[in-house]
Amino acid sequence: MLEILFYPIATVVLIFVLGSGLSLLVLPSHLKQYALWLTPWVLIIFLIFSLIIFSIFGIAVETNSPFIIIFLLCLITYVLFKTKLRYVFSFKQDVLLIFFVIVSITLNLSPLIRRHHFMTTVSMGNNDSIVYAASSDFLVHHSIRDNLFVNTQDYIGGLLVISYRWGTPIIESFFLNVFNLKGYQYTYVFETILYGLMIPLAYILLQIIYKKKSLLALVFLSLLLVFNANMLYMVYHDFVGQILFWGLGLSLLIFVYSYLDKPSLLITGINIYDIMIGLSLSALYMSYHEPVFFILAPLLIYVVFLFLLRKDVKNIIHGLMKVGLVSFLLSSSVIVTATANDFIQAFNGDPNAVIGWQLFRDSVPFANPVEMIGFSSIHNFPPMPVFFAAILSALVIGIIIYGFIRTKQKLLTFSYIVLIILFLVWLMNNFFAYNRALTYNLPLILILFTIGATEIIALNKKLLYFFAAVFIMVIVSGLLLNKRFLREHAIIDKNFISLQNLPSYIKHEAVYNEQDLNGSMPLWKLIWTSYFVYPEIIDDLPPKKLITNLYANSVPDNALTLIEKPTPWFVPTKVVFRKKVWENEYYVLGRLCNAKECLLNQADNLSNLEFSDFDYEDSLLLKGWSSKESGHRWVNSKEATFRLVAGKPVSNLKIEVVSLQKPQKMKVYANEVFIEEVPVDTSWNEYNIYIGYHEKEVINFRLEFSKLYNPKTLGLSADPRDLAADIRKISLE
Amino acid sequence: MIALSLLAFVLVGHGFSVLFLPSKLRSNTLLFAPWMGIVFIIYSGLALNLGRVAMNEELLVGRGFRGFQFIILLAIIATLYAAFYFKRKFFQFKKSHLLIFFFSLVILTLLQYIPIKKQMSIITSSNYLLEQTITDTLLKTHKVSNNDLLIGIPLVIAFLRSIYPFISIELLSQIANFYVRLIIYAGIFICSLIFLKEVVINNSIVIRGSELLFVIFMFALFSINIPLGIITLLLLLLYSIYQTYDKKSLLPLYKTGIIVLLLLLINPLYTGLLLHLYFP
Repeated sequence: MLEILFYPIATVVLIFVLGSGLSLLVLPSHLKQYALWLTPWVLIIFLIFSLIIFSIFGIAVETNSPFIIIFLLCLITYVLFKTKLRYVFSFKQDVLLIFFVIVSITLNLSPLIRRHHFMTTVSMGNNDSIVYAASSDFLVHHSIRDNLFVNTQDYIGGLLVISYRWGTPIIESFFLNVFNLKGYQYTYVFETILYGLMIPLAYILLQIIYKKKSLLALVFLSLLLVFNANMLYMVYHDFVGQILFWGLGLSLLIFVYSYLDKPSLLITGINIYDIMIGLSLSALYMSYHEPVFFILAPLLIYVVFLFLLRKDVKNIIHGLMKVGLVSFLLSSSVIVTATANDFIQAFNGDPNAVIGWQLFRDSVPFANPVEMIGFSSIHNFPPMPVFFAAILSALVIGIIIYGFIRTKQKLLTFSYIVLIILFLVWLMNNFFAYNRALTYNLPLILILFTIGATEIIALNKKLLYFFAAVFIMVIVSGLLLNKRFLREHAIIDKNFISLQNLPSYIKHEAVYNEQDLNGSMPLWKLIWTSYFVYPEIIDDLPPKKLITNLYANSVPDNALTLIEKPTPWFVPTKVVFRKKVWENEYYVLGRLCNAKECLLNQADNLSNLEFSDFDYEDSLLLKGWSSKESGHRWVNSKEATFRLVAGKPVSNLKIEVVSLQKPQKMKVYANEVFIEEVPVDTSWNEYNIYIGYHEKEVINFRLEFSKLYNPKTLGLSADPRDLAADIRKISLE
Repeated sequence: MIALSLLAFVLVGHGFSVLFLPSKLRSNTLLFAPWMGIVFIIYSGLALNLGRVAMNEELLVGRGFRGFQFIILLAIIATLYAAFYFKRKFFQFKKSHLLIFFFSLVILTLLQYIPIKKQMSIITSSNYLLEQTITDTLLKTHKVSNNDLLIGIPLVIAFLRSIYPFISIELLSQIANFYVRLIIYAGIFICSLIFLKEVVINNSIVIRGSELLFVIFMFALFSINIPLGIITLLLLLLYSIYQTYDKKSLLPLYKTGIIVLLLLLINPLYTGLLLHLYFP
């Protein structure tokens, strides 16, 4: 339990300590007043860039990070003893920000703190966490360059080789190396820390575009960010790349707003702003390139607006060209890959593609302005009545517009708003794309709303009570989603972790699993079992050789097979093993019995099937069977195969079967010889079919059905499967 | 063919020449333009190739956007920006430049008639680079060789082939002629030395166009002929050590450090692969 408190605190302390010297030195003078809360993100940008460069040159994080740490410590020493650069503290503001950062991290870690009590990764449903955890583990001991010369697991290569998204895993690998942790332990914890540390950045941006400090605005904005259900939804689904984007994107906006407000700096040679923005942009391209468009395109719109308004545009273009030059020189190949991928995604992608989230609300899933801000939530509440939604949305939009009017650098902000509105309207046909575009830009929308609300309260102090009451709805929405997360999440539990204790000699042999046997493993189980069982580099991994024979299990005889043990809520795979090699309280690893001579030795257990806990169902039922159910099993194909073992002399096959609908006919084949055709009724019937004399033999049966029926189409249930017949007993007599 | 190639290099490189040449050299913009064009095609061609976009590969079948169009797009942006920013100075050129161009054309054309064995590897390599990338091959074979990385000239040929699809590869491969290649090596090397001189003269701590140009030209040298790249780097190191000793100032060493850092950073993927090849 203590580790859940220790590692987040240690991470935050380390980030601030290591980043302090660097941020005080490199931040432009206009931004030095915000150095304290910019420190984590200056460090993250520096670490992403430097770790990636070292890694591309073949130097892994475990080797290069001591040098980077020493370098950062030297900077701190230099700043402390050779300069007068110090943080500027604002007691009330900083205490409040610390409070909200702690609340955010604690709230989001609640599944670990309240339920699981150990360091692990949880997800509300999305499987992306494997990608970040496994790639981070890989990058601790291997370099990005190494990955080009070996074959790695798909979930490593996909991120590191296919899309060049190195930033997120490499920054995590730095902390994994420092704390000697594994990716599965740290990924979710690290993500919550990133999210927490993003909150102060939003307040800095608010101060820059509002040109005022306001504790009320700080409280409002922090509440909106800590409890906004739309943003928490992304955190709880482990979209680590997007969380990093929020931080990097806000840092970029802070630098850009600050830079474009200094015309004298724009026309000089390459200055610290160009380098900071260019580096941040490169770090973003190397980490999560999809939303970069939302940062850059508004700048082009801004230039067009300036041009149309006949304002001096030369300096702005010059400044932007310098930034473009720096970022292109630093990450040209990554920018090319990112642009090509975005281009393909935009013009060749499926507009209705589902991304790995579950849709909580079937009707009107698109967040309206009230739900965007967090006063209501698409993930917890039904859609609001249209009239009610229209009035409240108009009020929220009014407050955002008022907030916009009270800001400085309006034209720049307007350019961002134009693009956001265009995209939200354009994407109104796909919830997933809409929600992505919305959540990318939500921090800026929340900032404008906060400024509007603060200004309205300044006009009439009594409205503070109204806003305070309304903000309770934001907290309620956030807490409801958190409660749901506490209840419904996938976790890398102790059963997966126990697989680390598998004997090491199995690395020289292919290990098959339940997915190979019967395709029954949910994706979460499949990927995390792979993570713990198989090595990162698969060059030396013996290949799996699956069998396609209609009358045998897919896994070869005598092959090492890992099976989960039964639990009260899980029907396990039931197969006969030649011998058990290893087992613990969650799993058994054994050598599969799939050959005739082995099956004949187990004849007593394999001559009948009642679908009980004691049957070896998965050794006998082969092709054409639907998922396991207690006491019976559906055939979901027009053809199903199974085998039974005749130890003693037998001559009849007894089979108890029912069909959903008539007509239904069932042809029975034994050892590929046609035996009989029987009509299947809609009530349970037992058929006694003469198959001839058999003794000490594995008999292969094939059932052929005339029809498939769909319960959903027939209006019998919501079951979408196509089904031929249900069987609850098969035996030889 | 030589004239068409020269035209393409000038058009691609002119904007960059205007933007980046030090003011002292700006009167000779047109003379530097073809070299700028070649170096920019090599730099961005490598960026594309390592970014897994081949020179003539269509990203979306039937819907356009090919690798070389990205290079042309960047060149157009640079040209427009140079024209917008420098206005009249953008079109600065002397009559003598036209004469130089004319004589160069004559010499380059005559060189084609000197019998010499064709460099088939360069032609094969440029053919390959039209539709494939070294990264994709590397991911299949997990091996990289000297020939895979020395693709500067093949990239230029692949670019020309993409923009002049009506010209046969045999004709285009004239540029792979031994003498023409020698002239390209020499041209880029001489330009690097000119920029090195500018770097040395510049006593300011600020990084300017000449430093950037020196780095990019040196980078291009490494991608066409590694010994030439190493010679240029050694010249820089020797000169900075001499300057440091002579002027009793650490500034030249500091600037050399920055230039070497920039050289490593301007395409780290390429540099990383080169390092892997020579220091596995």
